[in-house]
Amino acid sequence: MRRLQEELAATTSRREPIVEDFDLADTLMVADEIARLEPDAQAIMRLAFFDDLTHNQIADRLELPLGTVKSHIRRSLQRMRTRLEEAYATR
Amino acid sequence: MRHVDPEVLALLALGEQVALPDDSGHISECEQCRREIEVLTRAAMVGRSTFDAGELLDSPARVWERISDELALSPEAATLPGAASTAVVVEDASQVTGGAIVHSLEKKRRRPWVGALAAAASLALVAAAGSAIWLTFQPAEQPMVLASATLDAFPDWADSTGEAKLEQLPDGTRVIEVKFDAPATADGYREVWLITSDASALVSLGIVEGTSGQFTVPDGLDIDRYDLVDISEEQFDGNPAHSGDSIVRGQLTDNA
Repeated sequence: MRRLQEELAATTSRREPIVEDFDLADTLMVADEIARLEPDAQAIMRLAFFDDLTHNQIADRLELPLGTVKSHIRRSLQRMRTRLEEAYATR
Repeated sequence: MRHVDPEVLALLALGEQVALPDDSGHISECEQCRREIEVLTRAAMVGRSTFDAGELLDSPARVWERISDELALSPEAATLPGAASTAVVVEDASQVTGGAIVHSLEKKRRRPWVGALAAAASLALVAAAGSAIWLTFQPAEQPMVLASATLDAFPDWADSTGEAKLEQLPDGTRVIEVKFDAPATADGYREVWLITSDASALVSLGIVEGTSGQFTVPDGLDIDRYDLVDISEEQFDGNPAHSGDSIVRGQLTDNA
């Protein structure tokens, strides 16, 4: 876990720093959406988000076709995005 | 102009360097694709922020007990089913991260946690207030509208309008409620009737004063047969029959 955390810290700092302080409600909503994903999609998004693996690495790790991984990533991100947009539309 | 493959956009939003030179060229010129990457990037960032958000769990009963104790709620309010199923965030940073690394986040975290607690507390308050209001103003049973009618004017009463409702009161009594608008007359009175749709039979419900009234439908009257509501102009002529001078009339239709 510690190694993972360091890896995460290292990889995220490589990108632009996350300056935005997310609304707790948004975080919880997206966490809920992730929890609703089917098992494959959920495993993929966890590896993408938390382990910061590329889609190639994820496909290797889970032994899934590359196309499957890519389409899960697209659909899952779209679901989270839709959830966030719906929440903002009704606020 | 062909947009960039949505799967590529999603990967770009995750920070993967997967854009082909053609894609990069397109993205630099295409507002729509850039916007798409932007919103997906935001979704991904919120997604990553769930890493230390903790799991959503049903709160143990003692949490609600303490909240309701603190707010001095009545026991009924404290056991509202809505309150019991509300989830709260349980954070256990040491378990998630294995220790010291995220100390700097502790301060940041406290704020949303307090917010969540306040939100939970206000939820409980609203629930309590709601149940109090519910108990105080428990609504009396409402009459059920079985059918309604628009009453149309007869030629001699061209500008008149009206409506009727057949309602069932909580005790089972059926009533006809009429409301109408007709020019006033110097003498005479108005009477409300139920007429069969072939106009072969009629029942007087009574005299209506002013422009509205409520009339009990006699028990046993087959309202499916007597389904026309009629309001007539009557004279003080000692004749109890319908004068033949109808003002408005309409057919009751069942409310679906």
